[in-house]
Amino acid sequence: MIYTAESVEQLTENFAQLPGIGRKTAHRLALFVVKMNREDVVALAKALVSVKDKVRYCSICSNITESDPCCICTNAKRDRSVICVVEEPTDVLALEKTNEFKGLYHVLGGALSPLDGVGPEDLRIKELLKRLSGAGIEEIILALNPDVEGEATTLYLSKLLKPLGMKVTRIARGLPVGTDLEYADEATLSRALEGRIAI
Amino acid sequence: MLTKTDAIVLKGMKYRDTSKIVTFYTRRFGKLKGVAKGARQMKSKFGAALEPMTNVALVLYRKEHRDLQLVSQCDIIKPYKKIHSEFDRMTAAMSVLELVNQLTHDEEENAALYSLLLGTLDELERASRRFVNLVYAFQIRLAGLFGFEPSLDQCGSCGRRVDEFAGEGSAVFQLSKGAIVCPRCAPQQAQHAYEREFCRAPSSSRGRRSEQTKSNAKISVQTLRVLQRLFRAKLDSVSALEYSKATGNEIDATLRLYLRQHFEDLKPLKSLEIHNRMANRDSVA
Ligand SMILES: [Zn+2]
Ligand SMILES: [Zn+2]
Repeated sequence: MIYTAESVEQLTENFAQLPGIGRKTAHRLALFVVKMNREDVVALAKALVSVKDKVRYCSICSNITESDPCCICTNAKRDRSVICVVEEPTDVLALEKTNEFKGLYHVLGGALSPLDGVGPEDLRIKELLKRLSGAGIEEIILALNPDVEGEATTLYLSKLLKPLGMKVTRIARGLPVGTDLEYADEATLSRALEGRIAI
Repeated sequence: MLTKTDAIVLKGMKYRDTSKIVTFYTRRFGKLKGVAKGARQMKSKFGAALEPMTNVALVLYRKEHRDLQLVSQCDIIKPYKKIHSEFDRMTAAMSVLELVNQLTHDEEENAALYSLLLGTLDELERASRRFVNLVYAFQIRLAGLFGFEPSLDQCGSCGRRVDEFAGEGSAVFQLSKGAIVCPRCAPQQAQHAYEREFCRAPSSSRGRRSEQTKSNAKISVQTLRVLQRLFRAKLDSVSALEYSKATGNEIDATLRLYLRQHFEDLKPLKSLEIHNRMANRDSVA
């Protein structure tokens, strides 16, 4: 790509770092930016910086938020006796869309995956246990991805949580194995929440 | 070219929006990576066939010298249901996969290793207890397949068999040779090693000596006997082996040192560490 300007080259490099974007697409995006209005480009750049500056992890549930604690943790109408444990912030979004769950969340930041070097100490499990030591939590719902990593995490957490004497449930495994929770449609997710069972 | 082979799924990684890059250990080509397009969609044709610790019949569009092959079809031969639903079996199986993944390179065929892996997973699914025995058996047999077969039956120096020196205290396991030295020969061997160090390279003796001490491990006769069985007994009898906790710790440590000695780049097995930590927790509770 010696035919393009150096700044286009640089932007292409930057786009190519994004997930799911190969070099070809990155180059196309960079050329699109060249054609955009200046205002739009400035707005895009500002939005990028603003996300980075404003968004942080909630100190209670680890969901992404602009205000700490997040609006779910501070919402007086939510049921404080139930915590739903998920892998990623995108899963909170997916579950919120069902309008089915009124409790609180805990985002682990991933799932157990020893082959990729991810062990229990790399997830926000200590933080979860700390939350549970406070009074009033009656049920933990484990809502992890229906794959081996999600299953390993579910089994691990149930081993840790059961001795603490609270109700531990998992969402029903009506979801096809090997897929991502965030791609499930609302109807499927609703059913999965309803059909949770004690473990 | 469309190619078929049996395989074990080692691990998967999200790729683009809906696809997966899956690492397989195959019977015909050793380890290889393949792209499974659309594998993360709800209605994917692959279903659960690309989940780690599954035995599958794989169809690939395979090109030589390509890092990433294209998965055309993947059907489950054995789903290993219990491995997928019980934590202790699962972490034991993971530690076996983790070791294979670390020690193999892409497209180096090793049918014997494939059979060992498959046999070990079969037994982890079938056994009812002491899953960690199968992990240790796998480790020591894998070392053998890579040319580091330990000789555990007799003293490498005087030739006495283990039974003959059973009452004399701990033996020494020479990690680099994979050989045993009986309690009677051990002091002499240590003396020889010590003299070799000082006569040859007095200036650098300190660094080399610390390496020397690391390459030997004290080993009890009890541990030696269990290791022999883990190495030689039929796989389906391995989970029945009973031994004390102290022996278990010694087996774990000895094998860790032995593998580290022969596979320089080997990193600690995370799944085995989790397995042991949780198993101990249960026995305390
Ligand atoms: Zn929060
Ligand atoms: Zn001897």
